Amino acid sequence: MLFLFLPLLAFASCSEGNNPEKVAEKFNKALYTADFEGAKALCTDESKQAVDFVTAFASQKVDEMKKANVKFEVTNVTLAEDGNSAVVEAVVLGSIDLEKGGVKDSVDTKTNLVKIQDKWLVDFRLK
Amino acid sequence: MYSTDSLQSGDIILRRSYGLISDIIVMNLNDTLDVSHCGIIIKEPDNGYKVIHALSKKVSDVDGVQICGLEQFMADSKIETVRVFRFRSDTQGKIAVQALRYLKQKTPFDETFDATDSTAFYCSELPVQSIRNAYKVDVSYGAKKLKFSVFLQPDFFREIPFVSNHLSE
Repeated sequence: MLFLFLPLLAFASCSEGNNPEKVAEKFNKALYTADFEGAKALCTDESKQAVDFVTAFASQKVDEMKKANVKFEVTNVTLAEDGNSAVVEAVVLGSIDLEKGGVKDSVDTKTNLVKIQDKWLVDFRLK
Repeated sequence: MYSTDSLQSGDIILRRSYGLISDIIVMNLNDTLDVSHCGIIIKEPDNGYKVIHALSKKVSDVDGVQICGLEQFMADSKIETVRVFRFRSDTQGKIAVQALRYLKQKTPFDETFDATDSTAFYCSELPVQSIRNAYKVDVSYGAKKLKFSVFLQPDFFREIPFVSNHLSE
């Protein structure tokens, strides 16, 4: 019986971490806490340059960003009809205010994701 | 909510997008307008709308001058930040003609952010250069690095009702 449950548990845990909401949460938390390599691991190859852009410009705030206690609260998820793309709308709490310094109460965010080989990845490019 | 009723080809649309890329652009510009990007409206024969704008390959899948639907442009915009301005003298759609020309030429993104060099454009440089070519008017007064507030000059531009909270003003 245990043999039957183990693969099911493994599948359930994989699915849990690999849905648009979770990937968007991990990506945004990584980005807003200056874990840029972590963010790059969660986005499409084409988006990695956009993360590098953030990395270059946020360099002076990295120490502050790393200490931030960032929370991510999903407000809406829109899944495309074909199931291969999604948009996760959320509020980011506790991020560093790059313009004025200090901590921002909340930031509305919208994360575009695409499903590539059964894996959800963030499309971080501007449209 | 936004209304396209008053839009015409050549109108300049400004927005702030979501996320850190926009925050960084706003932070670096230190402008009076809370926006990070702009484009030029194109009204199509079927009354659909498109936006011609310039983005860097670093943050976009296409480098330089490109076109997208207004709906797509708005999907990436914080709606409360979106504003539309019209060059007062643009009664014949000449700005749109210039923008379409730059699109056809596949003008690259200006990574040097030099508005005095017309071989490549960053986003606010595209409408400024289109106006310069169409009407021989330099709304930037020769500035190299443009701010979005260049479109707030009342002698040159007037705001067009677009987003509902601005419509009620």
